Amino acid sequence: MIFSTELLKGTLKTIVLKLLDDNKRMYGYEITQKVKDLTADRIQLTEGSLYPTLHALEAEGLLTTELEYIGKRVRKYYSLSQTGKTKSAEKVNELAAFMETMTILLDIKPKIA
Amino acid sequence: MYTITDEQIDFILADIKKNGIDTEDLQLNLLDHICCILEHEVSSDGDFDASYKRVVRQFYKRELSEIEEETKQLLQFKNYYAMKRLMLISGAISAAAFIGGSILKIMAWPGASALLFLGVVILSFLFLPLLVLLKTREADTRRNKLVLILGAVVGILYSMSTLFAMMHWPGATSLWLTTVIMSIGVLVPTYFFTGIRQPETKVNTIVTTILLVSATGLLFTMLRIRQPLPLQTYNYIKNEQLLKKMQRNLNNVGDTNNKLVADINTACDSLKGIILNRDIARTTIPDDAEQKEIIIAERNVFMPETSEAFALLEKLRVAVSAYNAAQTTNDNKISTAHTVLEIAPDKLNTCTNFFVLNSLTQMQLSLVSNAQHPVLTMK
Repeated sequence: MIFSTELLKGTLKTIVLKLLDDNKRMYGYEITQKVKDLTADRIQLTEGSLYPTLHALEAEGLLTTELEYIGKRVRKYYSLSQTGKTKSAEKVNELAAFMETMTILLDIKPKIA
Repeated sequence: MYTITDEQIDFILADIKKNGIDTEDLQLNLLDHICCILEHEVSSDGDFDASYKRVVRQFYKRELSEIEEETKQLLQFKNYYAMKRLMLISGAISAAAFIGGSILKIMAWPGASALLFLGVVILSFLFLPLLVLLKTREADTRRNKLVLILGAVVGILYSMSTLFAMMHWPGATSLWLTTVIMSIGVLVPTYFFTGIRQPETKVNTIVTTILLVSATGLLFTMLRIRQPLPLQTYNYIKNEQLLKKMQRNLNNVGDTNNKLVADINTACDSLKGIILNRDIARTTIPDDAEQKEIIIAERNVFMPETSEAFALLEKLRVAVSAYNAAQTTNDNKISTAHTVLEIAPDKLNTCTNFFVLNSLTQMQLSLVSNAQHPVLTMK
């Protein structure tokens, strides 16, 4: 099952912040691949939503960037700024609390593995 | 692993630029991303063109520029939506105030000026500045921003000059001239030469420029046509000259003035002086008024703020009733029916200045006529 973009929209910032928190520095393509790997292809970030989010996070001062030249092209690496690190923890906690509430709200029985 | 050549990199960059990705940062990101996918997912002997098309197609729903739009939207200031809403609401309110004010004005109902004033103020100081603020963010070049700002300035000037004209405030004419000069001399050329350079806006620019110039021209013509010959002024000046001539003749025959007549004449002349002074900056009509092309504008408000005029009017009322009481025949009495003396004080502001001026001159004329009467019978 691949999740709908509507579901992903509210969590995209959190995903990006958490990945950068765990991996120090990443570039766009790497982020999409990492998400694919970690979720066994069930979450596929689209470029159309990833890059706008990255730019917005950068503008908010949560990310710092480094440019690296690879032949003729430039690769932009993203990493968390100091405020980004705090924000990342906040966002993850918020989402966890949200998921717990949703479990109660929607009366989801935990799957027995 | 597929190896991408420099030519292919140039091709990809040009293609994403062409498809509406203007932000340089985003161009570099997308270029690297596309290259990564191609390198990882296309076999070394794969077809570049077909693979590129397939890869880039996954990036969007309708067109590639969606990414650019989305980025811009996220980057725009946080209160963007609040400002946009305020802009739309203020625009709607000022439009409603204009329509309401115009209807009131046509029907001559009270509140027209207040509503129109509200409309102009909201349009000039809320709607247009917000529009510029929001639109300049979207404008890509400095010149486009300049055109937007100039357009708003001309818009504000235009609504201000309408307001000044409507409220009979001084400087309306020079404000209107400034608006026309700014519009035709600065805004239109800037707009025209900015738009004509870009092939995609060329035709639109030419059409809009023609519309702008002709609209301004028509407006200008209309304002000129709407200024009729100052017939009321002609009329009043002739009456005034007639009065002067008759008064002079009377004085030649012999001064028959008594105190009441002098009081009435003084009050009338002073009142006329107050009204004329506001309009033509002199207290009497000069003998060569025709050569000087004196024009008195028709205004509704008769009484200036000074209580002096009210006191004079009261003095005149008293003097006229005393004069009438002293007359032995009805024929010699000054008729006050349908004159300014009959208007209640709170209704005075509905009188035009011409009505008041003519009322006063007519009273003075009947004084002269009464004084001449015995002279004529003597002959």
